[in-house]
Amino acid sequence: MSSALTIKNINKSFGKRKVLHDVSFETYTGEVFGFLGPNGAGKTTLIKLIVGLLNLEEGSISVCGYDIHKDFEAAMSNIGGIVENPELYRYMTGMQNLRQYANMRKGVTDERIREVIELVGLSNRINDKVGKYSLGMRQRLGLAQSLLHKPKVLVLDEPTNGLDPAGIKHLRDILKNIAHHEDVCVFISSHLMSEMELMCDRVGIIVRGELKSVQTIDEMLRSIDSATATYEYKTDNLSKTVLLIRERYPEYALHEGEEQVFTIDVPSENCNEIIADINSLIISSGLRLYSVYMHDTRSLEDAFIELTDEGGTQIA
Amino acid sequence: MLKLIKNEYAKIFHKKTTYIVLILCILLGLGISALIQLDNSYMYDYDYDYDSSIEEEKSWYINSDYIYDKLNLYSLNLYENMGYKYRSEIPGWVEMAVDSYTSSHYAYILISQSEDIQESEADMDMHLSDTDIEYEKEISQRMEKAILGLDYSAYFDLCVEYYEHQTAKNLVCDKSNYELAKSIKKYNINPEKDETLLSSLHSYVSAKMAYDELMEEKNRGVHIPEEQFQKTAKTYLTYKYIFDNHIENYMMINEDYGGAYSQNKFIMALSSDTVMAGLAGIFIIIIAAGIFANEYSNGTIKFLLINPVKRAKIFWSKYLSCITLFAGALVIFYIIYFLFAMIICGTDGIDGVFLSYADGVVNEQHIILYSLKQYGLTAVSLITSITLAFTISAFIRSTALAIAISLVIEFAGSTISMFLYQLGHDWGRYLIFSNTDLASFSNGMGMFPGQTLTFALVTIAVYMVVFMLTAYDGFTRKEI
Repeated sequence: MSSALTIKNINKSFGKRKVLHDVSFETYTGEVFGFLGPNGAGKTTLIKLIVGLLNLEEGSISVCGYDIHKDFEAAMSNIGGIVENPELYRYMTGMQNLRQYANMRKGVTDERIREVIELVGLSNRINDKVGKYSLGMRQRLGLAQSLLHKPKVLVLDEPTNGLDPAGIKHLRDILKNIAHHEDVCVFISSHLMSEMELMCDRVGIIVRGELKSVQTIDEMLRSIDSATATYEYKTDNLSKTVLLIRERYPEYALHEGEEQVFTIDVPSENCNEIIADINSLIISSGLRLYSVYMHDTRSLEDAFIELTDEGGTQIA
Repeated sequence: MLKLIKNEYAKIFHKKTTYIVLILCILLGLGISALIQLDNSYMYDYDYDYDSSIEEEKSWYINSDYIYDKLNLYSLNLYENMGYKYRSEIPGWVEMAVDSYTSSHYAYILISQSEDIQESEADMDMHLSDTDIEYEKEISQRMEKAILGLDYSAYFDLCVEYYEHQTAKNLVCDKSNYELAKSIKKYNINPEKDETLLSSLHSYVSAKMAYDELMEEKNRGVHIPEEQFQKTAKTYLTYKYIFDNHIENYMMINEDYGGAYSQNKFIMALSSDTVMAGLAGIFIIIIAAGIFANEYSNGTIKFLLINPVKRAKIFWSKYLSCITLFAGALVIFYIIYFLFAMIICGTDGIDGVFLSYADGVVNEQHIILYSLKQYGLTAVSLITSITLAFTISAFIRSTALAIAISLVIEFAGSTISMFLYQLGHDWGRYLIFSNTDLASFSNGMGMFPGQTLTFALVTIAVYMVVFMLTAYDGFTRKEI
């Protein structure tokens, strides 16, 4: 586990509009780092700065210890990435496209190329022209391209774009494996919250060009003060059950639904005890308890919306 | 770097449009060259593909009262008497003899044709004594007899005799026949066998006469413009060289024609190879104009730049690909054109030479070397256009627009320069377009007065440096 990306005091403007305000953070190999923010927050801009597509005005960026300004080639040999949509040469085959990039990097053998193709699952279609690929296939080829030279840092801008659920799971597995078992830093930007929750170890949240926080997933989720937990019940007699509970716990909000279903909001702190108590009450009254489950309210989405304070209504 | 260039080649040659453009350029090049050759055929007394019959030609002159038409008719009758039906049947020396005979002895001819001597005399505005007329009659009959009998030896002897007789009597006489006849004797030429040699001797003699006359005037103190003197000297010395060396197929600069000219079809064709070079250039201009623009419009520029390769290297790999590809295209286009010229014009003339004149010396260069030189010079100027297209590509993200701008500049450029020249704006000579026709420059025909090859090359070099710096700077600092 060593330093992967070292970002220091990045300020960037496009004309008069300042898009990044003093952004600094650090990432390490062996982790999956998620970079989150609303549309227009500056995620893609920062990624473009890291890979050299935009010019740094202020601040510095180092990859595995190599400054991208002073040691461009050394720094870049440690990075693989996809920025925005993966654009490839449509009139050439997948294999020919990969050879283009293999030629530009040191130490990429034919064997490695085949290994990578196998990894992303394109072995059957690699000799077809890219113009015939679906979006998902292009994403996979883009990923293959970024892995060819076994970079220490993988920078992916919204990599799950266009993938079906199976594809997303496949990608997630690959990325987690690369990060945790091959000591690579996987740096992802996205706004698919649920996905990030499943994939990332740490998360940096950026809003209007400012880095609001950098925390582990757990820290972030725990920071949500969710005061109440909602439980959903299904019994054989709705009205009788509701009467029963309202008698015992009149202070808790109870909403009747349809088909013998109702929900009740209980305080998170001692919800276990309360629920156990309600369950016994129902059963001991001779009613039949069909199902009871908890609505999951703690999510990255809530954390995100809370932290960014606006829910993405206005673009920065 | 080699691998990067290999990459670029792969990108260029996997595209179908590359091949389409290539074939179109080759066809266009051959097509335009063919049209130029066809156009040449009707210039000067080049190569009659149309063989007229004597009878037909007679019909052109038969009803005319004009002196020259009457003389033409007379010539045609002579040919008929000799048994010729078509002009192509007439041997070279016979045509030459008849022409010179009829023009020198028109006095006798016209007199013999008309009934009224007074009238004829009035026509010719000269007064001949009876003895003169008798002599004219006698010598003309003898000459005609010699011609009709195809006795060239007798005919040329008579030319010499006639001249010496007339000069002794201080009568006007055209000297050219005499000179030619004397030379034929001197060099022992057989007009029937050595037709080409006779023709070059004829040119030589005429040119020498013109030169001698001019020299004489100069020595008498008459002011001769230097340009005229040089031109005459050049013509004389060149034809002398041609005759002395028995050169059959040659090419030389002809100011009236406006460039290098040859009687030989193959030589003319081969020397017009500059068109092919131009089309090889257009092929590469199209590739160069797209080489950056394509990456931008595809979006592949992103992946291209996220690589452990400095932008400068990528820049040079693209440029070198264009240049090396241009070299390859030039070779292929030349070979195709050479074969094409051989097929269309035959191989007669393949041993020809290009003759140039400088400081009193005539220089000879094998026609293939000459054509390669012209080709190469055109190529040099095309490199500038390619570099310009390359520069435009670095700034404009649309391939179509980059190609359009590059081609428009390429074609309109020379028109702009011509325009400036016509309007008398001398600063036009500093524009890049005024310096691109290097092939013409090396032959001494620049667009603006005093433009030399060196000037053009230096100007081109300067422009190239500016283009490259602009493109390099633009690309290496560009934000994607």
